[in-house]
Amino acid sequence: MNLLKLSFSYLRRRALNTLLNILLLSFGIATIVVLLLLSYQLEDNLYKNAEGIDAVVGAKGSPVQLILSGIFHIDAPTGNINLKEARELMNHRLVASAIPQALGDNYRGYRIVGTTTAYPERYSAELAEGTLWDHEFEVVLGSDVARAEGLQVGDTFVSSHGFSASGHTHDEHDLHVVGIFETTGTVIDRLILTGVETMWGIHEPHDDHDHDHDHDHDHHHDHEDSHSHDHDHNHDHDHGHDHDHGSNEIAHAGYTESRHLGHNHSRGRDITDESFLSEEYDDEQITIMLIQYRNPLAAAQFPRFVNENTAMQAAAPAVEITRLLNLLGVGLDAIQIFAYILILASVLGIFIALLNSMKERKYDLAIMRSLGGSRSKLFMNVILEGLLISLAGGLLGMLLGHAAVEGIGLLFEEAQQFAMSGRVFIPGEGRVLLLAAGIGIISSVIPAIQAYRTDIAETLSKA
Amino acid sequence: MLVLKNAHHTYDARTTVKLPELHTDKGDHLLITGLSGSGKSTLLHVLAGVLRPTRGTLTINGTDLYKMSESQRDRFRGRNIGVIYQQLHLIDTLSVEVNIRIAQYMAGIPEDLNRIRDLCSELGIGEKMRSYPGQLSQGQKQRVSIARAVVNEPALLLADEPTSSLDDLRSEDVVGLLKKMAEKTGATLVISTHDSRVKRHFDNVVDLELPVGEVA
Repeated sequence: MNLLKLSFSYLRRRALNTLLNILLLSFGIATIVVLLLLSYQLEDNLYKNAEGIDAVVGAKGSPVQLILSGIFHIDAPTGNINLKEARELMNHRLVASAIPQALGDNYRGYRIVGTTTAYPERYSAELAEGTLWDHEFEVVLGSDVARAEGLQVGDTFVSSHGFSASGHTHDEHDLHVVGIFETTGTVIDRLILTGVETMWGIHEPHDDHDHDHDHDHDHHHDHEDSHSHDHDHNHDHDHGHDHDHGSNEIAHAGYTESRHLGHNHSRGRDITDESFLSEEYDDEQITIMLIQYRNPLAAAQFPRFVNENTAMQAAAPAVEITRLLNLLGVGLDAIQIFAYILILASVLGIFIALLNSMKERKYDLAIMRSLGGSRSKLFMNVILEGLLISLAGGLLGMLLGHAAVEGIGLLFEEAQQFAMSGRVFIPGEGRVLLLAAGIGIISSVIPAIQAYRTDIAETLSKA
Repeated sequence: MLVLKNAHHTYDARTTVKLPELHTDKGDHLLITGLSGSGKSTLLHVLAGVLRPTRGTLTINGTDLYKMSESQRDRFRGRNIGVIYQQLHLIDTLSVEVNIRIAQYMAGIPEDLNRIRDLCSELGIGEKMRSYPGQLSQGQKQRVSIARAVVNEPALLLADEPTSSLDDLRSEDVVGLLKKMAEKTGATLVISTHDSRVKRHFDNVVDLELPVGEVA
């Protein structure tokens, strides 16, 4: 015999009512847990991916869009930038390092990023197997990509144009998997990395023929119709093979030559982290640069310099993420209010149930006192009942919340991008359980005081 | 062993119940009779240690009950006084066994399942230990109530109208059972009743009279 058993026996007597109150509370708690988990993981994910990136440079447009597409690879980019201009920025005195990204293709929804090896290094991505790329058309897969698509080193695939799996297929160029990264918990897991030149190579028209077919399968920069930029010259192939820029011809020729020389359809030319900077590519474009500043002072000067003096823009991830989270926060707050209303309802529910229960069992309370039970024992008995309900509701709510987040992570593509998981536990949840305990105590304290005040003689003589 | 002196209780500052002088020795059996309104319930509650009289002292085994702090009295009551109420007040959510066990628990006495088992079989409810009060007959419930009152071997065993709803035969049984239980533990037995059938079993009878000029 103990108080817990006694409390439990009363809860069992009104099992349905108890269950309803537990459920009501658990819905409120679950909502809070979902919000906590989602915002924590979102924030964590955002800041983790943006770590060490002081600015993102890309075509002019929405800075948030630039950040989302350049760091998190979830939105379409704002457009493309000229390699020549980008190169000048790379050498800017305030820039310590710049990682280029050429975007525009995907494989089954996984973005292919033409970049340098500095990009995976930034996220400390280690190779699980294989090697990094050192030729055109060689790719290294993020762990999620490899797992989801069942690709292994040595496999080949063709990319699709754009950012959704339904784009036009570039079936003239096989991409060769030469390596797979370990899971990093960052955006790298969902990307396919390759050299910058690969992205250009994919979009080179084939020497052979049929440029009518090619003519409206545009290039990485063209999907942004709304975006106007004045340096799209070398990629407008609607006039067929007739390139009007010599350098591009050279590049093109060099590329086909190496392919034919090696008789190796699988590989393009050797490439290095610097090879894309060659002047022969002056008319090519990249999409985004991830910039690290040389000193903190640059934060004030560099974005203004870029925005005012170039056709490009620079956006600071820290600023944009904070702005994004603030915007999101309004919505989250609204849901949170809803959750607290649910919780308030359950406080009332538990309170009313216990209050009614006190009426039903006033004789029980009196007899327990008569049997030698102290006032504090009866008080604790009722508090314990409130606690049992609220902790059951709290635990069930946490379970539901985690299950819901896991479900959201599995069901929604957008959530997958942020690697949402219900199997993550965060410190804030301890406070949720404390909240549940507090609810139990708050809702039971008045009934418990009633129990405490039970007058034995008066109660029993009224029987 | 039980001494009640100079006691009266005032309700609402108007109704005053004068309580009789009582003096019993260990093992005495005492019957308190009187019509309703004569103060039987008040007396019983005072004796049970749950109602502090406005004036007067109650001493049980040399302990002045109403000089103790409330929690001391709770403890004393649990260990030394067993009460069988007219409305038996079993706890419906608990089994027979736990209804008896709770007396040990509330009094802070080590729970002794063997003692409960023996008691139940002695009272003829050995088969019912796992049943709930709702599944018992009135007679069985009364026996559970008796078991609960005596399980801690109290020095004072009180019974309020134990025979009021019983026929002659059962009434005899219950009075016999109470006497037997009291004798076994050497307890002082005090029964309050208006049932004249019980009187012939007791030598020691205190008859309460309706207070003069008071309307109950």
